[in-house]
Amino acid sequence: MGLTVAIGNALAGLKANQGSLEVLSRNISNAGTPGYHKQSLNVIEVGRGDNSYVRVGQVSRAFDQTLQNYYTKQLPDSSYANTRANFLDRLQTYLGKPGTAGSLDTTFGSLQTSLDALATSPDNYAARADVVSKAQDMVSTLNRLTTTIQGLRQEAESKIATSVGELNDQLKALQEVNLGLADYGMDQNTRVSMLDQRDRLVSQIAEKIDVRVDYRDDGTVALSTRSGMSLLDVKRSIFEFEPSGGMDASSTNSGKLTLLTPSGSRVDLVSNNVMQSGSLAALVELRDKTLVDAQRQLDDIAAALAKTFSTVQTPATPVAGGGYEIDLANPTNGVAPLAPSYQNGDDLLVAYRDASGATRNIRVVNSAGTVPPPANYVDANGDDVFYADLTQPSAALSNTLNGMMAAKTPPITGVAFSDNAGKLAVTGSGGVTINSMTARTTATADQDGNLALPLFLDANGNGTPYTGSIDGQGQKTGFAGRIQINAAIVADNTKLVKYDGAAGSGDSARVDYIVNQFKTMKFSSEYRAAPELGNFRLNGTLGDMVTQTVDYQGATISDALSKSDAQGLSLDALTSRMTETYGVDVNEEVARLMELQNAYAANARVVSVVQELLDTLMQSVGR
Amino acid sequence: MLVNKSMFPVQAGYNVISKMNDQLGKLQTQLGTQQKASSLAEMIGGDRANSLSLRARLTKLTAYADNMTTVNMRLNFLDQAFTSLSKIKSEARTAATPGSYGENNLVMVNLQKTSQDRLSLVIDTLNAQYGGRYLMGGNVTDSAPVKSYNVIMNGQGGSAGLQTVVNERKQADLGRSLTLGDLGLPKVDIVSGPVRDGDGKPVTDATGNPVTAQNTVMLKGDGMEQLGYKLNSFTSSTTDVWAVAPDPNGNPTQIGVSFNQFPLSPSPGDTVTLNFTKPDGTDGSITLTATNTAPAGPGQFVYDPFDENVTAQNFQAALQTELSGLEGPQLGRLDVTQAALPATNTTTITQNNTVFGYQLSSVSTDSSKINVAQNAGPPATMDVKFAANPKAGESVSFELKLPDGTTTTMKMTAVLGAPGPGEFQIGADAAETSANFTMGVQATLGDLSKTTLSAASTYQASNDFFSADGHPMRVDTAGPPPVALEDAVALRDGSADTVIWYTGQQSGNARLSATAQIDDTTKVGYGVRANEDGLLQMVRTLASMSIESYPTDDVTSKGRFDAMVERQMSNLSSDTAAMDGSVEGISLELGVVKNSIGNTTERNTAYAYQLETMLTDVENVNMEQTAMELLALKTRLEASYQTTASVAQLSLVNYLR
Repeated sequence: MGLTVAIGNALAGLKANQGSLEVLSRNISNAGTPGYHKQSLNVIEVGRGDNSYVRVGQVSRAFDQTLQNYYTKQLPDSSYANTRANFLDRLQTYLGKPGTAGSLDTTFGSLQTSLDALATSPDNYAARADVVSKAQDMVSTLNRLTTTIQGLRQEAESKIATSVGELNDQLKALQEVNLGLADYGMDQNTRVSMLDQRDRLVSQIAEKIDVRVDYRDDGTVALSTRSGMSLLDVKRSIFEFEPSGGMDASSTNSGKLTLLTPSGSRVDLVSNNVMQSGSLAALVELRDKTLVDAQRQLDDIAAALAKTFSTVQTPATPVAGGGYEIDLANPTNGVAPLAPSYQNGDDLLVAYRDASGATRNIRVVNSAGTVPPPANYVDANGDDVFYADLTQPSAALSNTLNGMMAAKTPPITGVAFSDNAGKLAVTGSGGVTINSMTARTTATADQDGNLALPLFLDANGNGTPYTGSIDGQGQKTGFAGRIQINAAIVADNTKLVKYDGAAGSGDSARVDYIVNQFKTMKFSSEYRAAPELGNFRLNGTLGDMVTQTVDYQGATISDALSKSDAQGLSLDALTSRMTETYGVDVNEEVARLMELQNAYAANARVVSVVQELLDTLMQSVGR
Repeated sequence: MLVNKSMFPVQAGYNVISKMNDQLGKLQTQLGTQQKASSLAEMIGGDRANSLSLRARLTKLTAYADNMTTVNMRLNFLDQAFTSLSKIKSEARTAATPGSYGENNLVMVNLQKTSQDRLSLVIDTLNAQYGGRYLMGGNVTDSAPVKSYNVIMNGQGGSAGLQTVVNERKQADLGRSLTLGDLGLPKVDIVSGPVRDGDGKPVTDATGNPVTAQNTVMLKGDGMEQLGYKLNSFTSSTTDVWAVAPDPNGNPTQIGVSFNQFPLSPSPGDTVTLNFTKPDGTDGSITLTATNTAPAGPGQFVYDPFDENVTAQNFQAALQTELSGLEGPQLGRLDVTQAALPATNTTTITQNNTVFGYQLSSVSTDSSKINVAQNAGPPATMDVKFAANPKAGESVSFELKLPDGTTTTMKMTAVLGAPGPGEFQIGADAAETSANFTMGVQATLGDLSKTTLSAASTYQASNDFFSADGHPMRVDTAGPPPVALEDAVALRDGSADTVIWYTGQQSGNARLSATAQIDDTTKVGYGVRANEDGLLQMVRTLASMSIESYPTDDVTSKGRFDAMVERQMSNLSSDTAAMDGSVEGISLELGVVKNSIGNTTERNTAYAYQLETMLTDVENVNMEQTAMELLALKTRLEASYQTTASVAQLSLVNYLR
């Protein structure tokens, strides 16, 4: 009958309203909850003839897969940029703004100034003490920067460890959510909130590692990295991290990050370059590339600093016919002061003008006893660097060098080494003229008559001179953290001036030599920055290198900061889109509430009216 | 549930406001510090590179400016010092000229004292120090380069000073004093002559004829008078012996004692005294006592009461012995002798083969009767042979080289009367003339030794002491075999026992011993060594003048004064300004340095100013612009706040009842 139908409709309507109110109240109460997608109730009209009533359908959740994918793609990128920016921002405060006290370039500048003042007044105790103190400033700046950088690397390591722990927890939770979602028997409301939880977890995972999300029909997801490694597909993969224990400049590869797939195979994430974006990738890159490059640049500066002070240059004697010869075991031919003997890392520099008129250099670095012999290379200035044993007899040495020159592509022609009664001789032919040949060895004594001074020592072995040998990991690695001032010179700062016992107190020869070295001695780093960082190499005089380092690091950091800003902006744009699409608009809900309120009241009124009508009917029929 | 800033629904609107707040903070910081960027990464790439290189350049320029300030102060000081040295040099040069001794010999007497004052002042100036740095020691700047005046003059501890070195050298140069006996003097004869009484009046006999007697011991003054001795008189204690007063017409002087008083004769204890004046002006006397016991001791003569011949002869012998011990001239290490046979009438002068004393240079004569010859030796000799008597006025000239490198000429002129300095008497024949010539040369050399040679010796001793290479030279008496100073043949290195006057940098480019870098490619040298040639010569000259004294009662003072002053004038003359390391030369070089520093300072100041302007452009903000931006931002922020507040109110919830 119509009335029963009406009550039935009204009751259905009431039920539908209640359901809607439930959803609405959920929406309003969760309006500020992060990760909450707007829910709405599907109300279905069920119609059969006159019996068209409403039935509560499914709760639908606002979800745009494209938008979500876009968001999931943006998250790791911005997280990557943020992480880099945070770390590098701290580094820049240690480097200091150019011109401020304590910055690397200011410290270097004041060292130079104090040396200039010392050259004018070598007899003045205050001037000498100033040089020592500025040198100590330089040393402590380098040490401090090394400690900072290594500290940042250590921090990156520990952050990787915690991230890995979190990542594993999140993957586990996601796996459980997946299992729950796969169960069709779950009640709808629970299902919807599980979907929210699923999205939250995916976002959190995406921040750490770049993922590609596969949304299945049943709501479960399969995660894999952008490079194709599966993270979660019903079963999760487990991240494993072995920390290195201690971080110092020499450990360039440390802490293994591996992924244990459900099938049991382990993949090294770092060496296989699995992670392309996300905070984990940022941390690994910082630890292994960016900070290591910064450390290497500091090492180059420290090495150049030590060598500028302590290199004794002994020119070869010219021979008739345009060549030069030198006895490497006795470069000064017995004339005092004797040049120090060759150590690993000392070198022999041959400057020549080739047939086309360009000036080129060949630098032969002593690597006696280094096994395996290091590879020759071409440095940033275009000069050839050969590694050979300079302590061997000159006949064997000249054969080795000639062989090395011929083995290059293209081979070096026109320069020939030979043995001349125990001396190493070099001659040019075919348009090539030899300009000079200089033996460069490292001074080991303070006052043996040589003008060079071993002011900066390597803390290894309790204060050995720095020669730049490449045995083992190379003496240069981490030298910025080990550089220290020669304690003998701190104790007696007249050694800055007196190059032998009899030198006059006002004799500025040693200081003049060092000031000249600052101007003329050129270095070229063999470290090359990573290709993605521009393949940058330091070269030039010590001052040039300091400027280049500060400039380069400043550029890198500034770049990272501005990238982070840019990523933040695009993430902001996405989030505001998502707010529009998924977010709860309280006004809308309240308006809907008003509607529902009215509808509920109307339905209740209908019920009560029908009830009255039925009562009236019953009354009228019942007498 | 994690609250995550990156998850929606963060109100994007609020994000913008917080960004604006950050910007506000940044602008405020910019306004406060006037710097565009407050950290390394905030600097834009181009600015950063520019700022780094500008700062590096400015640091260098500041360092150079500091250097120049320091050097300028030192140069000012040096300027003052050299002005003072220049003044002293010209004062010393004009203080005295040869021949002008001043009123009452004031100039001559005071010369030593004023020279000492000058030397002391010069030494103080050479030890000039500024800020604890000694400026004239080359590159030895922490201790005074020159020893103090007292130490230099008088020595210290076991080290001998200049006074000692000069004394030693003088003795070595002047050589031994000969005695009168070495020269063949005195001439004592027994003659007959007129008998004179105690008052010198001739005794006449009854007829009024002067009585002549034998046995008068006559002492002739030739030779002795040329050496400066003046024979005054004989006196005796008894009238039994008569003194014969000098012949007023005699030239040279002759005085005698007569023993012809038979039967009178001296008694034991009677004395005869010879009174004479020594060359230095003091009086001297020789007393001979008569005795009757043979043999006679020193200062005695044996008389024979019966034979006055014997008495006379004994007295002659005793007188000869006594007189021949008197001091004669110093010949400056030359030997002047009458040549032995077969050469006749020849005077030979032999040079010794050492660095001391005179060296023979050349000899010439304008007389046809005299032959001069020179042999190279060794040893070098000169011969003067008299073929016959020359005419009066003709001369022989010797050129002699002195130890300090100067030369002097000794001219011997023939005269008929009693010879003075530089003269010799023409005798009866060539043999006598030759003997007189020898005597004359010896006397003249003796004079010359006390004046010119002495001056040259002082200068050379001073040169030895103030050596250019830091090794003072002394007269070598150790040998072996050990010799006396007068016989020394060589010099030795006295570094061990002599004061070394200069302990600064010994050699090497003086100007480059103290340098300063005032620009990238400009280095100035302003070092001075106190033993540079010009300064060294000044010190040597003033030191020599400080040692030598000119007492008024010494007859050689005037001659020595002339010789010393002549050398001072030549060593300090204005011609020396052209030599290396002269006071004027050094002043000039330092002036050039000061000039170039001045130019560089100007250049650097202008350049630094430019760089600082550029740096300001690169690093600093325009205050007005920043203030305007701040104001605009503030307005926007206020508007945003207001709007956000109103929008937050606009919720349907507020309007439902």
